[in-house]
Amino acid sequence: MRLRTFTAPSIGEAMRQVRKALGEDAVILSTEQVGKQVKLTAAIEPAAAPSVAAMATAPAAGDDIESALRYHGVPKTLADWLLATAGDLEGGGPQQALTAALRARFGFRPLIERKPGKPILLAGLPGAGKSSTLAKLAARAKVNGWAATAITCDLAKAGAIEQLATYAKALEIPAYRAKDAATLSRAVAKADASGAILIDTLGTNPLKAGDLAQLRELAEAASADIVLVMAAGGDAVESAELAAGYAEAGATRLVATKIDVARRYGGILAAAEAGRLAFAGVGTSPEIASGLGTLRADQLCRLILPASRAESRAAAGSPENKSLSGTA
Amino acid sequence: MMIQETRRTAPTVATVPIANVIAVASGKGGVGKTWLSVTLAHALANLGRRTVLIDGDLGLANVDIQLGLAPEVDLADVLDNNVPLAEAAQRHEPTGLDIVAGRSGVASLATLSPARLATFGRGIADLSGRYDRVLLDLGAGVERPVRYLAAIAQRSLVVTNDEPTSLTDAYALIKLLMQDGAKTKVAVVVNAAASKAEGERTYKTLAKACDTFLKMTPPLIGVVRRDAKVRDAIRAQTPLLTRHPGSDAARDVEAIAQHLAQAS
Repeated sequence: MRLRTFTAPSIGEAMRQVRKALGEDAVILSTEQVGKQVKLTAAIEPAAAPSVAAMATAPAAGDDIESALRYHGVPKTLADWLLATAGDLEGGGPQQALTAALRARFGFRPLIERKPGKPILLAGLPGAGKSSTLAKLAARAKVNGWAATAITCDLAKAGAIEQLATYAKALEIPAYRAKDAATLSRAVAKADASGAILIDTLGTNPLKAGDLAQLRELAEAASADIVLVMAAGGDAVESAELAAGYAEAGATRLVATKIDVARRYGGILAAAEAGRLAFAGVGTSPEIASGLGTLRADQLCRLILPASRAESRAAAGSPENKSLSGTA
Repeated sequence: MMIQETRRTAPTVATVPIANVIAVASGKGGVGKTWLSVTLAHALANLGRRTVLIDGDLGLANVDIQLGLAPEVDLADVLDNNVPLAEAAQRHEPTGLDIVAGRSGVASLATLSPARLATFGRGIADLSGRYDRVLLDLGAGVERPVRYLAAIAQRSLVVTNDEPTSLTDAYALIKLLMQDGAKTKVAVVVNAAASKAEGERTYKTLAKACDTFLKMTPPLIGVVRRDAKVRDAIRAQTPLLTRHPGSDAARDVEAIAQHLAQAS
């Protein structure tokens, strides 16, 4: 909930301020006459992640957790566990039950809410969305007022350095290239350690031991946390095997990208499960400024089991309530 | 494998609440949560209820400071060294309360592993059999451990004042408890209100937000008026009910205690 107070000479003027600041969906929580001014408290409740909720168009059968898990291709052992746990949490509806089950099973450690204490090294298959995730993270860091440094170890892909330079220039952050562990270590030493240090890597093949060893070496040289960047929509078995490989190299968290172009999320669940990776975020659109969201248990639940229409209306504040609140 | 096992046994918040346990939480820090916990506990003891106060605010514990205690055993010993909670409860003669002190600057509740958190929860359940009321002063924040401890309490008092940040965080805590499916009975305390009417207005703002966005309305259990005597008592490290009995804030807290002493 975003709550703000507004003071104006008239209620009409205060309402205009409310609409301007919070939009048409704002709900008036209280009004108060303070001297000659009207003080108005208003709030909006952004649907937990509007972009995520809006995208969850999967035609999962109603509120049925079991059929939703099947639709998404969630591996059987995991699906059974989630079902059993959600079943134990009687009351509160299927959304709450599945959210609680997901929360009990998975870790959720968002990348973008808190300034990372260690450098973040993004790893993943070629084309998973590492470079744009880096740019989105850097943009978010800037918005939060943190320093940010971008380092790329991807010197092989055509245009990789130019791409990073373009992002870095637009975001006004320093960017470095590193060809190996030693140069990476030096680049990290040069970076502003008080801010976010973001490291892009060459697309790796986790089925090749050499690639994983190199990844581990880079992460150690930078004292970095490895975050796996993986596109949603992949086959569950394949995603699980890949994630297990990256986890072996030291990855502890997962950013699920391209969820706007995927409809089945069993792959990312299987990946998080197999690699014991905490969910760190979600790529919701190609937009650099806004295309990276948090992924908490309730949001993950909504991806798998979209709220029924009634529930989404309730979450957004129904029109009836809005008109009532206008007179409060 | 270890991580997986821990996760599997991680306490879910859909726990059955423990009778007699009252959690005091706020979302935001600095709203007078610890002071309210101490004073409420004291008022309950004055009403003849056997009461224990647990300082669950691990990162920034200060129940002992407010009461001028020098605890020999504290919550960190319970969590780190397996000291039973009952042994860590120490009598504070001036108030007739038993106190489990926290310890500032050690690991915070937020970083407690699910296993230790569950152990703590079981300890509270064991302890609740020996007392009429167990008050749990929770740390600020809305993290899972805070919500877990709120969820095992039969009642959770969410403390707020009239500041927008405090209201927002109180709302966030209530919302997350709802989403967790927590079965604790949530009630609102407005602290440091300029007057009863102002406090009720603050409550209505929060209630309206809950009603609109969450489709539930937590009841108001009491308004505690702003009172300079509170600050004076905290500075003197003396409980308000001892130093300034009959003051506005004291009477307001006693009214809440009356309610808590009767209701189950």
